[in-house]
Amino acid sequence: MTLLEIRDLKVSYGEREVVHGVNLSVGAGCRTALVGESGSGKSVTARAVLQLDVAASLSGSVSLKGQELVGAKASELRSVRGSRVGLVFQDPLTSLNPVMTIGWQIMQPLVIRGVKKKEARERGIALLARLGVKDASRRFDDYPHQFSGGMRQRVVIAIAVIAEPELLIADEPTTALDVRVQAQVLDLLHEVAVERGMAVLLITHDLGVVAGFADDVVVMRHGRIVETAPVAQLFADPQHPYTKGLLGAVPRLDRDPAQRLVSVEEIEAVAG
Amino acid sequence: MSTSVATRKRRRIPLVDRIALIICGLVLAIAVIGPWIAPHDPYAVNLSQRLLGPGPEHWLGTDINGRDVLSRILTGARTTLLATAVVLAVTVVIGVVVGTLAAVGGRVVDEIIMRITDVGLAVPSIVLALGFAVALGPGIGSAIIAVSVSWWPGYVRLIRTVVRETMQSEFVESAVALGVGRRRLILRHVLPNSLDILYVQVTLDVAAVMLVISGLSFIGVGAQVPSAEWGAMIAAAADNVTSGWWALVFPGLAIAITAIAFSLVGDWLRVLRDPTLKQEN
Amino acid sequence: MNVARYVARRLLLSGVVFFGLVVLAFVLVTVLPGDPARAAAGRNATAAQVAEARERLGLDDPVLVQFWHYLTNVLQGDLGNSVFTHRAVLADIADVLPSSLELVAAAMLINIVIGVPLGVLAAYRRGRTLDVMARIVALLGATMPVFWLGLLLQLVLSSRLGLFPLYGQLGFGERVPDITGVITIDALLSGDPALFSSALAHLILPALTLAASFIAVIARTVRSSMITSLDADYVTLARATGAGELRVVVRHALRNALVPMSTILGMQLGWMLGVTVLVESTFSRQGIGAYMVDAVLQNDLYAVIGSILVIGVVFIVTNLVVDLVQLWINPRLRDGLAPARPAAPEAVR
Ligand SMILES: Nc1ncnc2c1ncn2[C@@H]1O[C@H](COP(=O)(O)OP(=O)(O)OP(=O)(O)O)[C@@H](O)[C@H]1O
Ligand SMILES: [Mg+2]
Repeated sequence: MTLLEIRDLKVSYGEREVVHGVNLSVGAGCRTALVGESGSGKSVTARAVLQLDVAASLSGSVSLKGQELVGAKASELRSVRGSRVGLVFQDPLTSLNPVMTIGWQIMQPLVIRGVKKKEARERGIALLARLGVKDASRRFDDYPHQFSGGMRQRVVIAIAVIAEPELLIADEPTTALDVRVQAQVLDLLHEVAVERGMAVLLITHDLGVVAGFADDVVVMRHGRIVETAPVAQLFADPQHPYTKGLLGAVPRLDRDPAQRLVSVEEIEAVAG
Repeated sequence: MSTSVATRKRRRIPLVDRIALIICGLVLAIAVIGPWIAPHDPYAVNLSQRLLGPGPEHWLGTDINGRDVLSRILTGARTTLLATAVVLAVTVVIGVVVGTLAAVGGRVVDEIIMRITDVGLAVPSIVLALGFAVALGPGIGSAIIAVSVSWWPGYVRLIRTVVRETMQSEFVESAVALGVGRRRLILRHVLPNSLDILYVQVTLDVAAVMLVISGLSFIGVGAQVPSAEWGAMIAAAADNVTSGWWALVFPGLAIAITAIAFSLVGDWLRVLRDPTLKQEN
Repeated sequence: MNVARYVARRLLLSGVVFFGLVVLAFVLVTVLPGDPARAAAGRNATAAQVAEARERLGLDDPVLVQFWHYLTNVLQGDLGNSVFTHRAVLADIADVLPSSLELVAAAMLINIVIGVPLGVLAAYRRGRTLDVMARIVALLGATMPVFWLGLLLQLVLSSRLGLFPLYGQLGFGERVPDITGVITIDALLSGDPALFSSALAHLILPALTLAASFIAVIARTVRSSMITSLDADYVTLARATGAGELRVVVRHALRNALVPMSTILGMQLGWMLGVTVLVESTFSRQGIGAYMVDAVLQNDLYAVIGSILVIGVVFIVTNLVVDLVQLWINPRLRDGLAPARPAAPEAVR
């Protein structure tokens, strides 16, 4: 079943159109990767779903299980934000409020939905522990600067998923992390998504991370979609020359061990 | 084509700032030629003409002593602005010398200078100025000294910050690499590239310094009676607030309009210098 | 321990600035032209009286000895005597200070109640009409001569429209029991509502006058800090969790503005006490400002310098308190990660 359906989405800033009619869909519980080079419009497309950018003007259709979001009332959008669609950004340094405890920030999505403080706290701590933060109950009242980058990104993920959204949009959630931590965080995201039956739209410009993570891949360039395919098919038989170029740039085991993001089996499976 | 229109638009001075610039020019001109264009003798006491409202003979009315308010404002511009200019000149020189010293003189010198400026910051200028005024005796001269003493710490801090920034810039590093001597480096390379901020700050400070100086005159320790200084005029008019509003309102307007004009021009210069501020500020 | 080091350093700095302040005061009373012996003896003193004062004040001692005496006196609360009231300057000031603190507190309240929302709204509606209007209000507040504004308010609101009493702190014939020295509080304690409202009515115009020039700066500070946090990712993400705009602005963004805001407000409190010299006399209020103006006009050197010391000390103490409050509102400070004090804004004066 299709969860998120984007049809002919155009996004402009002032006079300048930066996304020119994008079509994209994410099935319920599916993980879709949106890839493309820097400036291709991935983030703009992602932000258009929740319409968080007041400077952007949208046309076309974004629907969530049939509920149209383009042109929706503010109250309608608010009820979608957080509880049906969660969001994670690239930089865990700027994604957390420096003057609030991480616990307060994790509890917020529940608190604003009327969950009791005590229950919100318990759920927050449990989630944080599930996301691999050791000593979660003790660290719950710490401030963001007391955490490392990878740990902070787990906190950001906790904030995004605590209200149990059906879809998580993760905009390059690991780009700012160092390579080892990248793999850990992605694995974790994968596990949590599967556990909760949560769909993920993963944005990345790194095809290397896609293979082990996504079911489908959407390739974007210059504000347009150039190719959409299941992940195995895309790796085995890319149609668009741009995709072929991208694949050529994927790190290979024999080239650079530091870039080792996917397991041997995965690469072999993909390469057929 | 569209870009050239955009750049031309950006180069045009916004209307408000243009008006402010014109007013600043006018005020400065009045400071120079004011006494000659004054329609009446600003000091001629004429008790039969006291507290006349604005009219064809006295455009802005007369004060309690029958003196023409307009003529006094035109004449007084010189006192107020000259005092302001002297204060700013003195404090800028001190600021550049001491501020540079703090920036390049090493930790100990810097620490000492900064703690001294902390003291200056702890007491509002008008209060510190009162201290100097009472120690030196009243008069516009001691008002100038007094305000200067309380104003220089601000410039020291400003210059210290910008000189430090310039010292870290690339061209200074390459000058060092070329073996330019320290003195020469600071005098010929660092300072000329640091001081453009002064245009901005001095323009912005005209308003603030003028307000302190006229405040001192208002209290009675700056320009003395019967001087046509703007603050002193307001003080003199304060006693008959109810019988002759014009003697109170117009000198104050002169101060306020001048202060607004210089503030606007200062802000405009600041944005010119650093266009990114336009959004932020 | 970072917190202990921070507190120690703040205390030390405050001490250093206080010492500098005393040096400054000493320079003003002793070193500058003008004869402190004559100042202490009074204007009409005979030569013998002046000589006696010179002897008493130790003015023939070496400067360092004189300074030592001055410093120890100041530390014991002896700021010299007023030649007019013939009392200790500190006792004079203690009598009038509560009234000034009342005025400053009221002005600070107005400053915060107008300045902070103005800054928040201007940031929220950046570049829109509201922002422009906020800028105009700020510009007017910062450029109007304080003393002139007070007179104008008297002229229009009191004299013409009769909305507020012209001057004084209470109406003709009204008295309050002297309990705290703060008239509004004493009026409240007296249990007479009419008396209290009269005291409030007398307080409003001077407080508004005093606040006017400060609103611009706090609004500007809040605005620029709010712009930074409203643009930050964590605010966008807060919206993405479904938080309402009010909550986003107040709980997520404004909380960050508290750090620079409290720094500026702390400095403003001390400065406001100084700016009372331009307000209190106009409104015939008691207070350190009016006391200082009288002292200046009567050449009462010790009274003036004593007032400067008191105003400086209030500034130093409020800033120390703010520095300690920062520990609580800025968690990064506790771990030594933030600059101990944001660089003093150059343009705030
Ligand atoms: N707020 C904005 N205002 C104006 N233009 C914008 C804005 N945000 C993005 N753009 C423009 O939209 C285009 C697409 O940007 P977008 O951020 O979506 O790229 P991206 O694919 O996410 O790139 P990256 O991999 O670097 O994140 C860019 O040309 C960018 O300049
Ligand atoms: Mg992006």
